[in-house]
Amino acid sequence: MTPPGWTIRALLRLSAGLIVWASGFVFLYAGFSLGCQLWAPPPEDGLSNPVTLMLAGFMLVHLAAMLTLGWLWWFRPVVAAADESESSRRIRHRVEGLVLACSIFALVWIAFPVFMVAPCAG
Amino acid sequence: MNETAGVSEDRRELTRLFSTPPGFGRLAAVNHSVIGLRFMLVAAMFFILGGLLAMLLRAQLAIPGNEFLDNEAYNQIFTMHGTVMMFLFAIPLIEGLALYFIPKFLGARDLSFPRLSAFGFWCYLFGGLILLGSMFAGVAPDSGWFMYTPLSGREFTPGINADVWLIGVTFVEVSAIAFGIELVATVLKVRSAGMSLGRMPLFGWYILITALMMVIGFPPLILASILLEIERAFAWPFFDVALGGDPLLWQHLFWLFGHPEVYIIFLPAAAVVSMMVPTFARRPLVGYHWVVGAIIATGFISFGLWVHHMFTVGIPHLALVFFSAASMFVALPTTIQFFAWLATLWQGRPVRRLPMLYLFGFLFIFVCGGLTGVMLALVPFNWQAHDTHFVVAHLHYVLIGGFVFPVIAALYYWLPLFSGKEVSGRLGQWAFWLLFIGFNLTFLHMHLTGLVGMPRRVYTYPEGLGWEWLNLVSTIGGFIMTAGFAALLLDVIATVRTGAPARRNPWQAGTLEWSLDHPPAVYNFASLPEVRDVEPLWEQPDLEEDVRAGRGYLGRARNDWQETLGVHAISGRPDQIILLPGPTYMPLITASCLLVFFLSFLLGIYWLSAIGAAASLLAALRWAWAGGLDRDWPDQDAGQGLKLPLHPQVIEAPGWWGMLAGLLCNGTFFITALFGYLYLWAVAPQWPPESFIDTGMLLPAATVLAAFLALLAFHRAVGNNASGQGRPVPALLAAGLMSALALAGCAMQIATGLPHPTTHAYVALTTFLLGYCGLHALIAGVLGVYCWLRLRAGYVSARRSLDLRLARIWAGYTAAVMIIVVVLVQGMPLLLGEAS
Repeated sequence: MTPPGWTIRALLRLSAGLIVWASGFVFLYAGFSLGCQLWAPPPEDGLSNPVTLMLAGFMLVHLAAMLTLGWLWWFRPVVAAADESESSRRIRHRVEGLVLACSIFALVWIAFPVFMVAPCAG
Repeated sequence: MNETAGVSEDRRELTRLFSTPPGFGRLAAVNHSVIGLRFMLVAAMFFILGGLLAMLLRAQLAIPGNEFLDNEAYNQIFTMHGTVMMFLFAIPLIEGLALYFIPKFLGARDLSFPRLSAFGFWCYLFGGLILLGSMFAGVAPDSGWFMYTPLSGREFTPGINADVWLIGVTFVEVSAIAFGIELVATVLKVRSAGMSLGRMPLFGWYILITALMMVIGFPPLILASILLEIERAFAWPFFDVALGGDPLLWQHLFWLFGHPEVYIIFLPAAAVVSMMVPTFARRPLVGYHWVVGAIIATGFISFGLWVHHMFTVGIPHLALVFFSAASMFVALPTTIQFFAWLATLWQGRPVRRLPMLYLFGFLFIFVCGGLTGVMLALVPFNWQAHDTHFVVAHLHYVLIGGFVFPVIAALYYWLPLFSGKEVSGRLGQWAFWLLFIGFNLTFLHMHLTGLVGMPRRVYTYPEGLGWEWLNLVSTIGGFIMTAGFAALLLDVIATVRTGAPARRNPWQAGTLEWSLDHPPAVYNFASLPEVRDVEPLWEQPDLEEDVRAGRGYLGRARNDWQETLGVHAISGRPDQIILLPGPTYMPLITASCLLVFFLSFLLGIYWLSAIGAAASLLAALRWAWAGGLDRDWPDQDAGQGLKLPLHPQVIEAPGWWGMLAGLLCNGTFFITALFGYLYLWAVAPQWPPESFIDTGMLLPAATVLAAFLALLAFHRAVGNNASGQGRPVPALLAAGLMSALALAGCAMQIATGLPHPTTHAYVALTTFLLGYCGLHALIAGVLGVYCWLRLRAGYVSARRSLDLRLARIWAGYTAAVMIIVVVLVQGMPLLLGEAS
């Protein structure tokens, strides 16, 4: 009998990459909004300013978290529940990997504007 | 011979147990097939209404300077068209489809909470009737289906038109939340033996993610509606810019719901496509795990796009690019699904059948809608096309292409199953071509109408702008499309009334529902199957016969119980027998109490509204009281030599999952409220307020302490109950008392530390957050007393501890939100505040 905590962890692991992506999204959007409210740099500073630095930091932290998940996926793959078939476990493992790859791509994709646009202009 | 007689006797007994009583007893129905069909039929009625409204709009726009409708009527009609189609047709149809089919796909006899889905139906019906009634009373909503402030505020919409929308839609949303909770618990726990997550039909995955999206996506709209209704009724200025509010907060909250809703509508449609394509391609779907990953990715990423509906409101460049990038990215998981369907057809041996015709219509139209969606995600183009007919054309390509065509395909595909009649096909083909040609004639060049400058929501236009022929052709196309829907309706009615009896499994599909009688028996499966593949009928040829002969699980009725199998959420290993409730009037009574609450609020009779709210709470408790067991039962024979516990005696009972899903919904509501608080603090121009909360630190600290002591007391009660060492009763009474103190603490902070909420949005939101905490403390206190009474009545024991554990989870949530609110409310002024 697997405890409820195990089941929830298994379900969360399936979408772990996207949970980290969602966190990255919130940090980027909230960090940008609050950063521009509190420490708005002059537009002529371009990309050299504390808000861009902070957002880049958020992105790197989340990217590091995703890479850690990637390491786990590769070296510590999901284990089967009691009575779970190997094919079912393998599908969970593949879905986890696909979701993670998609999350890394999505994070980089939505974060690249941070390095292209002055944060508080417009 | 004797074995056959025994099977017949078991089937008769199952029919008796699962049947809905006749006459007025139909109002007590909880069976998922009955409730699902009711949802679909009522949604179809609303679809016809929404279609007629669309015809009125098209008739008005057919020629310039038309006086068929005046401005006021046009505003009401386009608002109601959007509202009916989105809230009363699309979402409820999905709900009906899923409620009807999920147990049949997953190999179960019913859903995890049949009474909850019945309650959801009544909420939907009552909310819909409020909106419908307003049309006949001439006070229908008229501010557009997204109800933007300040147009929908008291100043510019002084009548009850906007209130009707806010209250009617919120009532309907209760139904959507009920659905979300129901389906999360059902898909995770109520499946057939052996159906691990990796063997679940894709429909299950789609509905699981859709249900989770509803649980997370609808609370922002409910919050927005509550805030706007409070502003309109009591002048708390959440959206009034002069008093610290911001109309853009409404847009954020609305589209936080509104954009995921597009995917909430699309994913179930994609689900039916993923069920049909393998059948007609004669092979399993290519890339099952790719599609599962794509569904999960769509579910998450669709929450990160909402600002693309607000590109023109004045947003910093970085945010524009940020949301533009996310909007383009969501095309990726959708594309994966498309390629999986195409690859399946490519690799299989496709056969031409009527549902396939509609699937090709879907593929063509939805791809076009997706491409214009990518165009609209580009900021410069969006600025040009915003609020023009281009957007109207785009959204109809997405919603009709991505939802209506697959749903019609599904209707024809499963018609033999739920009607027991064969599909003839000829009139259905006529209907398809009328719909396909009519649709494209209406909307294809409407893109051009928008690009040449015609805005949305104008009731007429002058000659000479070049819009005349475009609008006339759209109107002609609209009427051709209506003829197509009429032909479809006629075909379905003719099939159901006079069609030849359906052959068994006429499409030779591989999924479980086709092993059922056509139409299915009220209990679905005579005995519950054990599956070893995603398409078990293709891989297990004897399965159908075994199920019919009672050689599966739970093949015999006993003790007047309605039983189905509960499984481990991941592995599909049977772990409990779920006892399902029989017909009851409680869902109708509870929904009726809510109707009193909502209607009296709409009419401004607030004392009656308070009575309605209290009656709803009492009805909900009475409803909950009827569940559970009044004594411990030994493990029961489930068949196949397996003995299993009854669900009230299991840790991971469906109710436990339901509570988690409910709190996920509640938590989203709370986080959205925090977002509103921080958003106004950061963005609204009339901040800071005159003064901040002034209670000192003792009162907030005591309030938080009381909430945590209540949690500790619940924890102690659970521990005492489990170990048998010490009585849980004193701990429960202490939990009730501490919760009451926490409630009092919240009330005192509001009464002594804050000015009147009408003075500033800061005060209004702070009062709202503290009120939210107080309400949770009140419910925790009521749960303490409820658990004590259950204990006394014998419904709780060391084995039957679900009531206590659920109350503990609630108390934990209450303590968590209490400390977050107190830290935020007391901390923000210290951190950022400098009162003006």
